[in-house]
Amino acid sequence: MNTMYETLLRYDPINDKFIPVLATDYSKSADGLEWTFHIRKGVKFHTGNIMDANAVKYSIERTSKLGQGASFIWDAVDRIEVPDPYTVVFKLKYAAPMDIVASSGYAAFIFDPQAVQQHGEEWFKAMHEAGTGPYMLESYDKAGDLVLTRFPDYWRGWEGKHFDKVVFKQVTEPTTRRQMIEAGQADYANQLPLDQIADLKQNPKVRISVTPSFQNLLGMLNTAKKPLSNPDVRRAISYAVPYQDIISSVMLGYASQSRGPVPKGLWGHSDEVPQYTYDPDKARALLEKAGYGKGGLKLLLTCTSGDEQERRVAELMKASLAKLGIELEIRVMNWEQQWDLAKNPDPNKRQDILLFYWWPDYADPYSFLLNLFHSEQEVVFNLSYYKNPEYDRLIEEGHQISGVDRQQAIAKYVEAQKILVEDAAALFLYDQQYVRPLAASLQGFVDNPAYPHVVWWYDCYREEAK
Amino acid sequence: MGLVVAPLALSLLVACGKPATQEPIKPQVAVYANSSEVMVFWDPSESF
Repeated sequence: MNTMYETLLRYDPINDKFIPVLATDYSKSADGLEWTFHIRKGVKFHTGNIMDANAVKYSIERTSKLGQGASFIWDAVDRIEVPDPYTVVFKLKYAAPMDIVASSGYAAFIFDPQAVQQHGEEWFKAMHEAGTGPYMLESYDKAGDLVLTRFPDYWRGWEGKHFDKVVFKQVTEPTTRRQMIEAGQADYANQLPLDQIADLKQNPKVRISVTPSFQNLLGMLNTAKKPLSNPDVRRAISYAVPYQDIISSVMLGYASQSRGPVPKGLWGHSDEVPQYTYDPDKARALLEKAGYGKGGLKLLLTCTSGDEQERRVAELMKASLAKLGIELEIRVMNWEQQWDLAKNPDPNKRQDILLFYWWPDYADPYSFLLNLFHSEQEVVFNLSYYKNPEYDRLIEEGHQISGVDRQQAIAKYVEAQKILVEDAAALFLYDQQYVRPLAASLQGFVDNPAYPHVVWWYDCYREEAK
Repeated sequence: MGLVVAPLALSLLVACGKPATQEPIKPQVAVYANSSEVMVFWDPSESF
């Protein structure tokens, strides 16, 4: 999507800077309730129509109105004004960080209103696009390849070195992805098992990119069902996880144990948030206290098929819990089945532990804190089913001031995370690094943790090392 | 947001159980080998 569509800004979290894209600059009022973005002139959509402030307003209002995906990022917007064709003013209900919102890798794309008005609301779903990005859709085969080709009128132009086309191939078998990289048939492959990385390092035609990410693995604990409705049992499980074994044997060191849900490197992460360490004696004592000292507990853990790392984490947990007399059943399911089970109307019919990853919709800790742990009327992603009014209050207050006083927001977010850890609302397993195998000839690749799994193809080109 | 694994449809490559046999990359074509179905939220308003 980020190859076909663009946003007002792009965020560089390493340097905490915003890069102008469809907006050339922006400013905010002292109270953080009014944000003004100046829109770049001379930008065309792939349809040939001109991108302007009205298109920005339309795109964001439509996204907010549909209420799908990550549209919640615009919740602070009260109204959008267009004082002239190249100025957009956001009037907010509270001081949300609109620069972060406007640079989101999801739900912040600007598209051609005329395409919707002309072809109807279902036009996009019939596999059309109307972005401003450097590459436009050439073809898409559901079973195979997505082919994007240069947009000749792209506003940044085509001087310098760029690819003509970008082909996305669906290659489910990791060995095949590896072979493609080794044989020079692919420039980039995602999710290669880490044990294959060591071999690839020896190959001069392959380069391994290792960068910190905002992606972490969590074990969501079913707080709405016995026995994990008892915080002491959840704490016992938290002490029974062999974190360092997981990091060394499953992640081969390409990860660090999480401190709460906000990953290291993202603002809102704090070393003040405590960690559980592997301590079977403490786990036993807590189980004893909870009335499960003699064992006999059975728990169901679900994880996602096709993800070898999740499965291996589950196996290590199973072995560790067995030593405490807890029988862990591991059920590997595809995501839809797993999610259906997790949303069963009866909490007692749901899993006890669910392994899944989170990365932020936008580079804001609120993405983790809201989606994963804020009370929900209807189950979506709070798969611990955690409900705590004090926690909810803290993150809402933090969010509402984060556009004007980030430090105060962080203080509230850290407090909220301490509550989560104290309540053992989830297993905070690890913050992972992204380990990407690339063709050694691929130049210009930058792994931006705010945009997981996005390759900025316009910035890339191929050149053999001299 | 964090759904790492999209529905996995078997690729032809896997179905055949053979190593990759694609043509070598053309010089100006970039190739991204993705582990699952390419996640394109065709409606840009609904992406996550």
